[in-house]
Amino acid sequence: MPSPADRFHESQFRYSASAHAVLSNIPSLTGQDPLELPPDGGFKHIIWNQFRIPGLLELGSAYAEGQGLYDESAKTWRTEVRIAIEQGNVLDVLTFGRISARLVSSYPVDSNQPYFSVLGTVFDDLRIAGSEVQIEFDKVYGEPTRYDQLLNLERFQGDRFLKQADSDRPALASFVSKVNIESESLKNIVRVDGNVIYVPDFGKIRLGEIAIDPEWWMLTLIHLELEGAFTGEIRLGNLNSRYDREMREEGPAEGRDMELSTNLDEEEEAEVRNDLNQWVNTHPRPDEPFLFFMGRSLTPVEFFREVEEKTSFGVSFLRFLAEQSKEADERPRDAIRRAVDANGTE
Amino acid sequence: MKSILILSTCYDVNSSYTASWAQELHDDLVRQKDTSCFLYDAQYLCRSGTALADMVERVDYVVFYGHGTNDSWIALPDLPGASAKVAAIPLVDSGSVSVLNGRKVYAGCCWSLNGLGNDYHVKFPAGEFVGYSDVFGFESYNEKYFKEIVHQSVISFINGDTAATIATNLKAEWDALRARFYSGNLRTRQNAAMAAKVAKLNSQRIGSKP
Repeated sequence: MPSPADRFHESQFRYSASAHAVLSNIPSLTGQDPLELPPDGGFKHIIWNQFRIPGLLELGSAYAEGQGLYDESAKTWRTEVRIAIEQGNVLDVLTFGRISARLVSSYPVDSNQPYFSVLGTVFDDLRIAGSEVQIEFDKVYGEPTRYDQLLNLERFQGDRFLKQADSDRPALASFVSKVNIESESLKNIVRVDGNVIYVPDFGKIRLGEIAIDPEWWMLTLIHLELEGAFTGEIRLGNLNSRYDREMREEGPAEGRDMELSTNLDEEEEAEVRNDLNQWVNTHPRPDEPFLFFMGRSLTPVEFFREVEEKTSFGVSFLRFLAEQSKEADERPRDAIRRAVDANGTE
Repeated sequence: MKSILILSTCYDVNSSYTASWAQELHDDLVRQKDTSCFLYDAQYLCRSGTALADMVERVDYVVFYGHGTNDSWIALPDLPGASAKVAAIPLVDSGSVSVLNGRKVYAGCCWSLNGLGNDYHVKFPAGEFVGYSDVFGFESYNEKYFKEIVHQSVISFINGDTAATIATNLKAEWDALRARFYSGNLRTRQNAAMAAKVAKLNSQRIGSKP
């Protein structure tokens, strides 16, 4: 039986993960339903039937599954999303027997950054123009890693794939560390650079691409940039997982019976309540809406009631006061006192 | 030459504010060099055949100010009190997201980043979408500060910043507003502490696709 505090943590979190068998800007390849993990977590799976656009892309079958749950013992939200695609053929140039990967993310309650890892990676019978391509995987992505830990690894300091980390775009990396092509005839045709294979009159094949930012990872098993008779992008086996932890302001009032800590001590909380009471009583328009969340609004009287009854929004506001007053090196009541004083200035 | 379509609704107190923001944005944008800008009330486009598609086809950017759910922008609200409940009518939802035709999108409404935004991203991987992952809010006495941040971010988007840049900058702008209301130069304004809280929530909820 989870404790009230654990149930509260569980209700705070919104799971966010998805999987696509095919993502593309080529019109005939759009429109497949993705797997979307519900915000409440749980388990979900999807099977995509045979996918066949003759002459362009054929996939024998594909499926994905996602799971989101709160691990009480580890005090961690955990999200997993997995995809597998079998019997792929792109323009009779790139073929594979099976590709698969699992993106795992864990969000400890007391952490401000999630951990991500990539497991179960498979590129089975990957071939270019009939010749086999061997893949080696970078083991660092198999361990749960935070964004800042990843960037601090010495080996990534000069890595060209992570250059975007300095900009506001996600950093790009790959869990494919090496591509080996044994066929001499193929070696003479294609060019390999890291995880990227350039094929003349076909385009670029990026293997095991990961877009990384502190709270979001997107993995693409095979990312194609077609440059020949067909132009456009195709992503095969795309997984997304995002950190989306916050209070559910609009959620049910179940939080009222739980042990919700405001992070204020008793004296501070009493001071804030007293001053808020005074703020309402001196407010020039106590019954007119002043706070707008597109969908609902609060009057000063309703706002006070939210705090008084310790709804999830009320607790969230008290926590905000606790956090901000610490930062501003003042008592939590001080901000409310200023609001009381401001009432008299109108 | 840039072309922008602003869609807004105005049927309750919340949307009355954002509708006036849309009007001001339109008035500013039509005065900008090499820019054409159209402002429409969304309720007139939600069931008007191909009118929305025709409008979208002629613009580079679509901006929506109004109420949103996880997977729709609402054109007409529901009527829950009726004996037979009358459902809301969306302007755009998951089933009709293709009407956005890959145009760059700024969703100045609640929720639509993850649901509708994902659907948009699936349909248009090269497209760009700015929105909120949860409720978007503002405080009425200090409304102008909220409006100004939204307004400037739309203009930056239209003038070439990527959706990811807009989201990153907005996160910082909302957080800066939070600090100004709580302990900065706006701390003595009416309802400042409450406005600070709403600005913080906005900073946590803004995002983009990709």
